[in-house]
Amino acid sequence: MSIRFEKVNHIYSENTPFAYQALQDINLSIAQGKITAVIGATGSGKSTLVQHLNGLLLPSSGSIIVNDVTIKAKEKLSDVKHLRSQVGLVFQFAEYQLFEETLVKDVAFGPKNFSVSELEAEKMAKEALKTCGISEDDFEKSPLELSGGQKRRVAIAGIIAMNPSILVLDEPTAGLDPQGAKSMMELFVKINKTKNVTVIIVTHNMEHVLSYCDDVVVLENGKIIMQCNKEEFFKQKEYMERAAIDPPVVITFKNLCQQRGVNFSSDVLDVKMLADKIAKRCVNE
Amino acid sequence: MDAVRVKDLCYNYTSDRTTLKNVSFSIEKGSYTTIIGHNGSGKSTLAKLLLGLLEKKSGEIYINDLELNLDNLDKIRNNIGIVFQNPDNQFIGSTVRDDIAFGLENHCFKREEMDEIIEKFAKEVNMTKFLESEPTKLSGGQKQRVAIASVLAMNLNIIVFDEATSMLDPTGKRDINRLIKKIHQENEVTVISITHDIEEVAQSDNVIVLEEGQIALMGSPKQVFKNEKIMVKMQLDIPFAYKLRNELAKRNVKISDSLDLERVADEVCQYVLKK
Amino acid sequence: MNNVTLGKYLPLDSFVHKLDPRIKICIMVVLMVAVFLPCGFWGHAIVGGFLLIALLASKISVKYVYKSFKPIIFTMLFLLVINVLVIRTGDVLIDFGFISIYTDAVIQTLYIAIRLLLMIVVTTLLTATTKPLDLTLGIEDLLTPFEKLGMRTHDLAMMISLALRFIPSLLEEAQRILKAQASRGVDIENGNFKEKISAILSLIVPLFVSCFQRADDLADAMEARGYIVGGKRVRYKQLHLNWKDVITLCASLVLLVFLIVVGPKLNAL
Repeated sequence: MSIRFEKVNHIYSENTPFAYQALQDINLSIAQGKITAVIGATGSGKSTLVQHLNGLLLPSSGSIIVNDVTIKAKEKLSDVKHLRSQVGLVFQFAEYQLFEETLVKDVAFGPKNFSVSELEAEKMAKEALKTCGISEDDFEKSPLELSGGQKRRVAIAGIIAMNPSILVLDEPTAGLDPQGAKSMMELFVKINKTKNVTVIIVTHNMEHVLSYCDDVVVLENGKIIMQCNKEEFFKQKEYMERAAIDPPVVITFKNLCQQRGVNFSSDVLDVKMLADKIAKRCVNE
Repeated sequence: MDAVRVKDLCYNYTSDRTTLKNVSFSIEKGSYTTIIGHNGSGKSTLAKLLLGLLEKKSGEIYINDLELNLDNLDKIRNNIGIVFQNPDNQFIGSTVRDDIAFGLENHCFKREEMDEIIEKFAKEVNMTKFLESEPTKLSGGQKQRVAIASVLAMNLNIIVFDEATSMLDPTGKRDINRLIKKIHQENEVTVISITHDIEEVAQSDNVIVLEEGQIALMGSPKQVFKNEKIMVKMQLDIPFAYKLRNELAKRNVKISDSLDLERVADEVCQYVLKK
Repeated sequence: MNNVTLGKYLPLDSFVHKLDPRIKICIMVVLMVAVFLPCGFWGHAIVGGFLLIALLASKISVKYVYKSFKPIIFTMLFLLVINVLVIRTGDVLIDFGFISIYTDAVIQTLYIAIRLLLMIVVTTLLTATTKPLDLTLGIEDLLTPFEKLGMRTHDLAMMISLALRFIPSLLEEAQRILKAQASRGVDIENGNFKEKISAILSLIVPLFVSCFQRADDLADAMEARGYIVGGKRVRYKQLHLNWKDVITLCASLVLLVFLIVVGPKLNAL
């Protein structure tokens, strides 16, 4: 287990009239090398949860174990840089964090902050840019010359360049077109498979959860109401409704058929399998 | 009568990159038109041109048969309004009430009538409770509701939605899509929606597909989505109903060309249960 | 940031809150003049009494005003030290041998302290009881006569109110960028000079880029809703005077006239 939350609570503005409990008694373990989706309605505590992973927020009580680091309540981390080099956190609309004159310089900024030599950092930056699908001709361009989707890739490369063993992404596909979003998700799968990086994605897009993720964590009002693999998750109609989730169209369609007395087996999760079952009339088993 | 008519419209962002080339189309009054295409295909540019927020290079734009030129922008904006993508950046007033009032002030509505209008349209978008709220206290979906109320209050009959739901969570998306449908039907507004939501496209009257600044396909959703090869080549998504239809056709099962999921489910269930 | 009280609006419901912002701005000017009239401790006591009544009418607690004054106490002590060293008139109050404190030094310091305190009460009374936006409206109205001289008061007011509107959004944005860069190993507190410079740049550049983006979006949104710079428009929010406003303004004017007439006598006491 690379990540473990134990009885974690988080209260914003504790001991003031504005106190607000964002996380409540979180017990959670996230498997190494998997892609885990964190889902839930706005304000359910998803962003608060992931910001604990690299010590941007500290728990009000409880503890979190990330690899060899233990984060305890109200205890300042002795080596916060060590933790942040292991857990790469990509914020929503990450393209807004670019600031250097060229892509390479910007991506090298992260490694350099972790005391990597200038030359080495540049090498890591170029490699990360390549991984993220930026063509070499663009390396010396200014970030301002790129399109929105490409800028975001550069921002993600800025995190990948630090070689984290855990990659956390807060709504990484928000605002992209479907094609851009798809290739972005494919990038995360590639990073996950080739570098054996544990990936945690905060998302609202159930089609992405269905196609690319392994496990699902569902939050509601700061509490975990479900934690399982995705096959199990998509069987639970009532949980999806509770967490204000729009199910993938395949699931909606299967539910429509169910109302008409036709049940497809629960492992049917894409249109090809569905067509097979229909054509062979393999139903109601 | 056409609500919008565009003829040979061209626009260049920078001299080396054409963003719109010979775009011509017309949109019928009271219809629901969706515009799809990749980011960078010129959708938002087209929207801004329709409002006169950008200056066209050549071609003609007519809004309610009124030709758009630099001298009558105020008249054009009495006919057509827009709701942008970013909820926060289009919230101008310091409260919901002030924000709806902003457009009325600009269009020189009578001061005595403003209160009544503001309250009427706040009610239409279900924001009466929040009239005195500041934008920081509102969700993205609520801010978009206010943006819609602001446009409606100005008494316009054409509204462009430029990816108005793309920055919202699923609840907000559902909510705003429902509201757009409602005002389209009840207020007889011509809706032009730039969107990535393929299921929304499936329910619209007309679709315009933009690809690299040119119109690649145009017509009813059924006509457009039947061009499977072109859609695949452009890497554009098609609605689930047609994905299933195509997959079934490969397996020698024929279903009708309906885009309505309920009807598709009816047919599929009939087929599988008929042994 | 939450500890700063000076200039913050307090959402209460009181007589002073309900006064017309234009009147409140005028009264503030009148009272400021009153504070600076040379009319001795008694004169200040009268102004103080007037302000105390106003404070009670505004439902602002004295503790709140004290909080605004606290940061200034240190400055006052510093001033006292300087005055003790410089002012050598009046009677000797205490004699330390190497230095002696004269009464004038103490009186002078006390004088300045009292004036500052009164000024803080006056400004607090204005800003804590008037929404920033109402303040803008008030300023816009009061500046209307200058329009004839070519001043674009409306555009000015629009600019101020937009700035006020976007302060919370930009603070939120700054917070997010701060966190994003911290995730890339930026450490504002530690590090050498060069590292600090690049850390600051990594915050400021993205903030500027995002500001320009917002400004662009905002300009489009305003234009699409028919806003024309310097164009004709009807203002929705109108301010209305009523008799309470007039009476309050008169009261403050009476106070000012009284102090001007009687002040020199009080000062001589």
